[in-house]
Amino acid sequence: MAKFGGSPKVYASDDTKPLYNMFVDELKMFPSMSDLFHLCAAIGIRQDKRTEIKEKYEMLNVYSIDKEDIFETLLESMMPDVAPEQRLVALQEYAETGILYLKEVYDRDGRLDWDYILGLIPAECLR
Amino acid sequence: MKFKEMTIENFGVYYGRMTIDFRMPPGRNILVVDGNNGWGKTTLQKAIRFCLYGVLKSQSERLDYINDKAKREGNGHMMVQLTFEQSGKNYQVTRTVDTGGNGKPEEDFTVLVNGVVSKAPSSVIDDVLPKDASQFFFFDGEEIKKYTSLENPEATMKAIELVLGIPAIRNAIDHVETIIKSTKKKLDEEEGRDKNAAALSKEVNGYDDEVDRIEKDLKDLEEQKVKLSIWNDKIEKDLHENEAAQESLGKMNKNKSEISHLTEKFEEQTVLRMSELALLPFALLRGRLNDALESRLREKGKYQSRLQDESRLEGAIQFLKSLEPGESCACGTRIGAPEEIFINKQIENYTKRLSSLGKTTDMDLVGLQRLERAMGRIDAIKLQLPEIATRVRGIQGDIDDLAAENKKLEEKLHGIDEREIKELNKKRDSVRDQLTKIVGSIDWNEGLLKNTKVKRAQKQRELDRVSPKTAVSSRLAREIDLTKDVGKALMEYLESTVEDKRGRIQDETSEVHRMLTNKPQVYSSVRINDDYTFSLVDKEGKTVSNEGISPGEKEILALSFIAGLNRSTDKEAPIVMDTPFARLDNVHKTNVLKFLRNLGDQVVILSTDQDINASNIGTIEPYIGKKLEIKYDMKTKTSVISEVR
Repeated sequence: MAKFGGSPKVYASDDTKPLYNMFVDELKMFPSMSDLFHLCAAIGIRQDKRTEIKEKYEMLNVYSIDKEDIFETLLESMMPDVAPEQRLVALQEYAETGILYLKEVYDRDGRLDWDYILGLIPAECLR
Repeated sequence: MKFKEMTIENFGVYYGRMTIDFRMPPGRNILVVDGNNGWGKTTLQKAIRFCLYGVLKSQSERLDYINDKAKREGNGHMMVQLTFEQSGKNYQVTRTVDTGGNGKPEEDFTVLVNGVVSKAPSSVIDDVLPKDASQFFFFDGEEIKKYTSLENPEATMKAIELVLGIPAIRNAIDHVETIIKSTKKKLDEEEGRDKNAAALSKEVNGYDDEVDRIEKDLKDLEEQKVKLSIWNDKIEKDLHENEAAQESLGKMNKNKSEISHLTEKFEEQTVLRMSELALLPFALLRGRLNDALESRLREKGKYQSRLQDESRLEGAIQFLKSLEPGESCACGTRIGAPEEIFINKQIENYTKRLSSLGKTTDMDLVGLQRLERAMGRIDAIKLQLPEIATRVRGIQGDIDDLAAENKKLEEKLHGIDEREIKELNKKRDSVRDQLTKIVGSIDWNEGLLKNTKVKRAQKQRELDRVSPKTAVSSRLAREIDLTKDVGKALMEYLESTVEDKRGRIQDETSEVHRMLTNKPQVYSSVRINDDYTFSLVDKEGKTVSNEGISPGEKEILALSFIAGLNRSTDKEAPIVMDTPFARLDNVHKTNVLKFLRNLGDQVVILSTDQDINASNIGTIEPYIGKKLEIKYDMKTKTSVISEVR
């Protein structure tokens, strides 16, 4: 089955693409763009909030994200009646929420408040 | 010594007779002589030297200095006459050169003191201003240049000795040695009545010379030992003062190494954190994924239970339909009409229930499997991010603490660096090595001296046996001993005087330098080192590397030294400076100009318009007592000097 119905690209908004670059390339806080995208999407899903992307900016190839299909599986179960392509749109919108949240934390504290994020980790996932 | 007038006649570029009046109004002490290069400024200074010391030695030089035009006109006469006063006496010094009829230049030198002709004119001048010391009063760029390398110890030592009149003492020491030699010769003659005695006496003298030589060597070695010991003490003191610094440096290095170790650990944890960060998003999804999975599992349960109900009802209907009237049921009841009615009612009832279950659609079991697989993956994630975060925070805190401690230590060190301390340790080791060698040499020479003295005493006894001392020989021997003592005393006086005076010259030079330098905020003093080289010392007491001193600054330093020497002499004379500003920048030039009025009672500046001009003359204007101008006639190739009014 084609990943997310065969949509080739993953987009961020014009506003948030530079934030990805800042966190990954300048601040070197995340290993890669796809890792940060995953985290942002997870935050958005946790908050159950999607942010519409108006001006799309191409960021990643779809095959560089969600290699174990965990997000796709989850979204499929969350929105079974929606076309796979639309699920990718939803994933990008969740990620948009996540990156804006990280920016807010960063601007407020002058750094990323890891404690908040670490507090979200379920006990079952801790060693 | 204060110049009154100088009359020159047919001297160098000056044709005919002309007089320069050096007298200036009270309160003004600077006389400026302005003229282009080659017009006769240096000739004026040369005229003063010629008049006082007769520096034109050879016949050809004397002829060269007779003005060409005068020579062409058949006039072979030149003259310089200088009048001055000194300690209330009036002097008139006249030196002439006449070629006379035979064409050979004859020099004549006359000195009148208060109008009376002196019988020893050279001695009179020597008393007023010795020729050797005159170079610190009458000087030019070349004179300054001698000291600008800062590392010309011979020139510096000679200059200091000249100021102190040391050449006279050195002459006296040479004279003492000559007396000793001649007295020894007389003693030999007195004692050498036979060949055997003469040979013994020669041997004794040989041992005497050997003893003198060893004693001199020993003295030199002792001096070196003292110098090295002083140096060693100074280095030890510096090292002692830097002991705390050494401790701090040690601590700093330890901290640096610990920081480097911690940084490695920090980086390791960062790498680990990065790999964990890649898993973090999936861990965050666990709740949602679990909810989805549970919901699907519940769905699956319902689906399975409905399937069971459906199958049970279908089975019952099928069974009831299989029963025929007249047959017996499994329970043994014979199916009659009432039973048939009941069976049909039951079939109807079951069919109704079956249809109420609705149409069963297939469940998406593949999706469920994928959810289960995803959950399995997430369950396998065991993050240690909180521990890593705690470790990273701890390491960062330790690094920050160590860096803060190092910053404090660095502030405490006041710029002392490890290199400096290493350098001091190296110097101390080198000085100690030298000291060990010198102590060894002293021991060896002392042994040699003792041995030589024993041998000498043996020879002396032999000599006394074969040639008993006469009254004359005893007297001569005593004379020799006494003269030797005089020689030693002179040498000691020479050494102590040089040492004392060097300190004074150093102080005077430093004082002048502070006035002349364009960096008074950087340099504090000038040091004349033990080896007679110069060093500049900065405000922190550190020696400034000579490579870091510009040519202009070196010239200022040399000029300060000359002025320092001039101030250290007990002689007073006018200062005659010939174009001294060659390489100076404007700040230095202004500082020198400001300083001029303090240089002496009479300061004569022989300058071009490059040295003194409209832009800077204001600095000395209130002190200028007279301005003279040299004019050169290209046609006759002669110069005329006249006062500018």
